[in-house]
Amino acid sequence: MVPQYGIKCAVNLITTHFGDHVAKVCECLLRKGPLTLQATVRFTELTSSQVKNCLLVLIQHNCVQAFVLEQSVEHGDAAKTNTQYIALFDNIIHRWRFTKFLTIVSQNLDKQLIENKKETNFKSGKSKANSKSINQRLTLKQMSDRAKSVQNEGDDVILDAVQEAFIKLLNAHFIERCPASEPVLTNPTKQEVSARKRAAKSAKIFEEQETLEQRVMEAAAPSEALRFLLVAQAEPAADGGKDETNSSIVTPGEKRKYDSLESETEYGAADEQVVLWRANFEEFIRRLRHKACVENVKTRLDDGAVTVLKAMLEATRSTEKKVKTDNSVPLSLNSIYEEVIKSEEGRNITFDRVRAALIQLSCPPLVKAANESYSIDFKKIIELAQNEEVESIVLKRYGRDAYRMFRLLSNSGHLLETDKIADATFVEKKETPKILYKLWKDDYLQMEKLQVTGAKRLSQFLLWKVNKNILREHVLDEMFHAALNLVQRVAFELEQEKEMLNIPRDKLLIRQRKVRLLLESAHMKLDDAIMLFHDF
Amino acid sequence: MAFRGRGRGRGFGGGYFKSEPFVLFPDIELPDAKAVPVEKTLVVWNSRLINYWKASPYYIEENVSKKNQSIDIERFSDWSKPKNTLKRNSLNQVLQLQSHNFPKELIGDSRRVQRSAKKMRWNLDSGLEKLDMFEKFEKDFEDKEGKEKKGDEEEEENSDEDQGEESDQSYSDDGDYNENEHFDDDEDDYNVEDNHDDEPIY
Repeated sequence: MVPQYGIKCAVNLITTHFGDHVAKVCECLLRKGPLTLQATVRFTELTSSQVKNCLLVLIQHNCVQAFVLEQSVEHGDAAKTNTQYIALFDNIIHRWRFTKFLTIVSQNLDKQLIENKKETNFKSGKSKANSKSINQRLTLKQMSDRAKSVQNEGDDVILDAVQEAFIKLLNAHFIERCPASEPVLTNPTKQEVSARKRAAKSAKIFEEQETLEQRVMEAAAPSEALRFLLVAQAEPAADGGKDETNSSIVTPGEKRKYDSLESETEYGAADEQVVLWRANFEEFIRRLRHKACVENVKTRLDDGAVTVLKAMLEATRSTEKKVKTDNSVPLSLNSIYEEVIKSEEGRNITFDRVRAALIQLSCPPLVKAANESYSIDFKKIIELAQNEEVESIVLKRYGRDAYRMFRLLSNSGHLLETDKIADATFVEKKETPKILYKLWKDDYLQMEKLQVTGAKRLSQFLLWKVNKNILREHVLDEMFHAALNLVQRVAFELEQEKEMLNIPRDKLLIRQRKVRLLLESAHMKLDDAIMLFHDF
Repeated sequence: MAFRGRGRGRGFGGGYFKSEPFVLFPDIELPDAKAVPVEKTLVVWNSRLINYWKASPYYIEENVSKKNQSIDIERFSDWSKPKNTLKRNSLNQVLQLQSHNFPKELIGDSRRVQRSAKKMRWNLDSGLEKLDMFEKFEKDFEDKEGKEKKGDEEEEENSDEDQGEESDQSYSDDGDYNENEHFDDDEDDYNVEDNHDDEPIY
């Protein structure tokens, strides 16, 4: 379920980056779900060529995925295949975080050129690296042209450096192959359809939409074997004609001329070997998730435990299949110890200290122990972090009493009656319903009324409960709302600057700089919280 | 009589609602600003990325026809003035692979000419200078705090000259080749005159 304000944020983002037309198309797809080209043209009221351009831009930047839904064949008609386009909300929102991803790259791979490469990736969405040797230089030249603007070095040096950076990024799984452009989704069999019909109607609709996007992504994604595979450069050429071009070292300009002389055959064959690469958002989000877990544990436990946790994460990172895994892969005590020693902070830690740290981590149960092997319970850590976040919101907005009551309800997990709450939290019986009512009005609590007849009197009890799932969605929507406000305010301040001509220029710039820094930093921090509720 | 009691005079049924003036950003009590960790590198980097996208061929602008253009009569003296237009690379140039990497219907109909990559400008300097006053200010602020005013004035002069030179250079080489069906010089002239004539260039 995409939160309403999430859609608004996404549309605002696309407007800033790509203009109004692209944003219109994007909004249409986000609000109405997957659409065909004709339907999009109809809803957005733009021309067909404009919509096509917009879709191309969105696909290039991984914000939209095309797919083909095969319609069932009836009465001997040919199967109709209509290309539909589905907006990828998560990928759109990731655009806020590109700078954070870039920092991860620079922290882990530690090179200026790699940053530039990554920047190129983000800026162009997808970039190609051909498996044919000459063409690889040609296309890597795209990236190296950018690198040249930063460093003044010769062509070959740049190309080699770029290639090296590319391979490093690939090994760290920061980049991956782009998904297929038009995967075909076959319709589910009749049995599946009827099974779904048996489920509750609202649930069915909810699930269908979700599974459609998931199905599309699964169908489009390259296989795990191919995903991070870079075919070696030296490949035997298929045609005799290509041999010549491969062996001779021609400059890119000449190669282009040569290409244009050749007819479609070479172009067609070259097509098949061209591979598009893009930034692997999954890996970045995974690293941010780990970072958030470490930060959270840092606030509770000491450095030793944090080092052990970091080491465990480092060791198991590459084996994680999807981002939102509940537990990490189990590790034995010895392998944990080995990993701890490898890291800088853990060099001097003894074996016993590691064992003690693991015991520390198991209460609260952040690390699960089973048969001498330990695995991190991500779900628990994230949940704790989310709870803390919500509780701090309640504390700031509604006061300490409300905070205590909310915590009580959140920890108990079932319905509690008003008086009981009042007793447990030492709040006046008269005040309690008022506070609870306020929380309920703002959707932080759920309420149920219970009417009991007994002894000639009808008494009414109010029962309160915290529903974590609904609450999470609600808080996420509020966060998107706040983020949207921040972004709009920044835009407003920038516009204001153009109009304020009476204030001396330097003071204006100072003020504007401060304001912009503050607002955007606040936005970055808020984005961390959004990731905690949405992506982790 | 008519001006007294605006609320009452509104309507018999609708008189219950008090009309509030629309405030874009109502005043609210904000928390302590110092509690926010200032991430300068992230913010500056972000603004660089955004400026790049705004100047890139991915930013699709409205196509205003030539007829609705400039109200001012184009003078002969205007020809010698350097045009501060934002030259965008064509979308066709940058979406290099058009065949099996995009759905057929998006590329099949229109004849998308594969433009040469040689003509691409990767640096987009003229655009960046105009839009990225932020980074420029960073340099000024860090160099000399006392001589800030002077620095700004010099920056303005330099940026004017730079823009003139750069746009001349980019025009001399490619000229007609870079112009494409989606892009309209005159349109930008009009916009540029509208927005930037009254103010010093960054």
